[in-house]
Amino acid sequence: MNPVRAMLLCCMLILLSMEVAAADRQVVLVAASTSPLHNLDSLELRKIYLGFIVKRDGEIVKGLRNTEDNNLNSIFLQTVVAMSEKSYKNRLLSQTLRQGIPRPAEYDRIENLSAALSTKPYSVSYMWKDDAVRSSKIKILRVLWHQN
Amino acid sequence: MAIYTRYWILFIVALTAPFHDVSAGHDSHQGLLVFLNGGPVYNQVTSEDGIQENNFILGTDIIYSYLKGDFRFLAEYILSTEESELERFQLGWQADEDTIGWLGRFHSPSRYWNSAYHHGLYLQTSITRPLVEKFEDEGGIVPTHVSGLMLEAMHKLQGTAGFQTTFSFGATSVIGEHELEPFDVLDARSGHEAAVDLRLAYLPDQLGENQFGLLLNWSNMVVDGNHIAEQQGLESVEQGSVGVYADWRKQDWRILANLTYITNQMIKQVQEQTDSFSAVYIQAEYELNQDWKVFGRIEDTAGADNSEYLELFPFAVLERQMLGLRFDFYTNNALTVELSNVKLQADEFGQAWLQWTAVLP
Repeated sequence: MNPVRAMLLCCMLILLSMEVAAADRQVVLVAASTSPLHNLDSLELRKIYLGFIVKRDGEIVKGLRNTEDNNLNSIFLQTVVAMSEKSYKNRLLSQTLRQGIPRPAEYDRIENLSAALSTKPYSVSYMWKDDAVRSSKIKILRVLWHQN
Repeated sequence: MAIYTRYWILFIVALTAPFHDVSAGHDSHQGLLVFLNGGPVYNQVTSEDGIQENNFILGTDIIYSYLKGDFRFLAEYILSTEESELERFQLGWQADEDTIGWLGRFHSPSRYWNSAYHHGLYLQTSITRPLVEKFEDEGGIVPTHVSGLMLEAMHKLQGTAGFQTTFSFGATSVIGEHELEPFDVLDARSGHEAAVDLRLAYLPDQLGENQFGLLLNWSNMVVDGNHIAEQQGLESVEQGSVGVYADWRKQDWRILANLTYITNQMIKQVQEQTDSFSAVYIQAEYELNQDWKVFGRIEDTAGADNSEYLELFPFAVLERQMLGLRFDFYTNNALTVELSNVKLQADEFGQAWLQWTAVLP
């Protein structure tokens, strides 16, 4: 085969595989694999991350933030709380000031987030589906976002 | 005694609470917020007016919160060049997802602005507050602190709408030597009578901030060392207020407005007398972009000329026309400038403020 043609074919294959991988990208809602939580609807999830009280089995459900990467953070802001970063930050400050509800804990490493979820059965977070599938300590509750 | 207790509380909080929101065990959570502010104010007055021409204010507001199961604790302490005071000290119990009961010292729910911003100056757009929203020690003419019980409940309506009820009952302010003096949990004295507050609010989105509502208050304030009141032969004031308010955001605009009617039953040594007045303000804010915001406020008071009650507060700002600009920069920092024309009972002058605010962490 013509080496130029072979190189072009390789490039096309690489691009195609990247496209397929990107198309599969999903953000999922997760909890510890031992968590009694099954699902939370969009309104409940928004309440949790805005500092309102949502209970399951008499326990307060807490939302942990995954700040590992900027894309994920943007998807969270757009999909879950429907606010800009600045508005969201101010809303959380207001909730602490008014109601004494501490802001959601933030984790910038997936290992730390998984460990935190494991010790807090009534906590949820969000992550790329690939990361969730890789960890045996985590279960997926539902898909929050998928790339079109 | 009281001043040492205050500083000890600050010291203990600083030692025990880390400078981050932290998890404290699997079912508890605590947080610490520190609001900072500083800046000069210039009053365009002559020395005969009895008002300071220049002043520089520095302040810090510390909020500590703790959540464990259904139990909640919240404390707010303000320390500034003007004051040192335990503003809020609340123990809460979450009865269900939408109902919470509080015991302690809190801000009166019938003052909407205070319930929204408390002392967190970074979160409020303007530097100054309107007359009916001012705290007692900042020249306020109505009680803004209550020590007692408070109940907050959200009732879900159709769709995402909600109806919020906040009710409180407790000890209110006395009419002190220079200002209204709320019940101080660190310096408890008798003489504080009762107050009842109620706020009814409609929210088209119960998780949003847009709302309008009704504000009701009744307070019984006893005179405690106020010279003007003693000259009037005043012993106590039974004050009732009814207000309506709206806080509405649409795209880049925000409108914050309030109309309050206040009636005062002035109980004197030989007779009783009633006077009343109304206070109104409307504040408009427009976001030029993510960092810049322009805002303005008009305040007015009707019936002030005939109010003996308002004579107790000679430095109360009865009218204000104000314009301001806010610039948000770096993370959690803001610089605000505000220019006003203010009118007191016997004076009218220009006022300029410059303020830096921030919140940590």
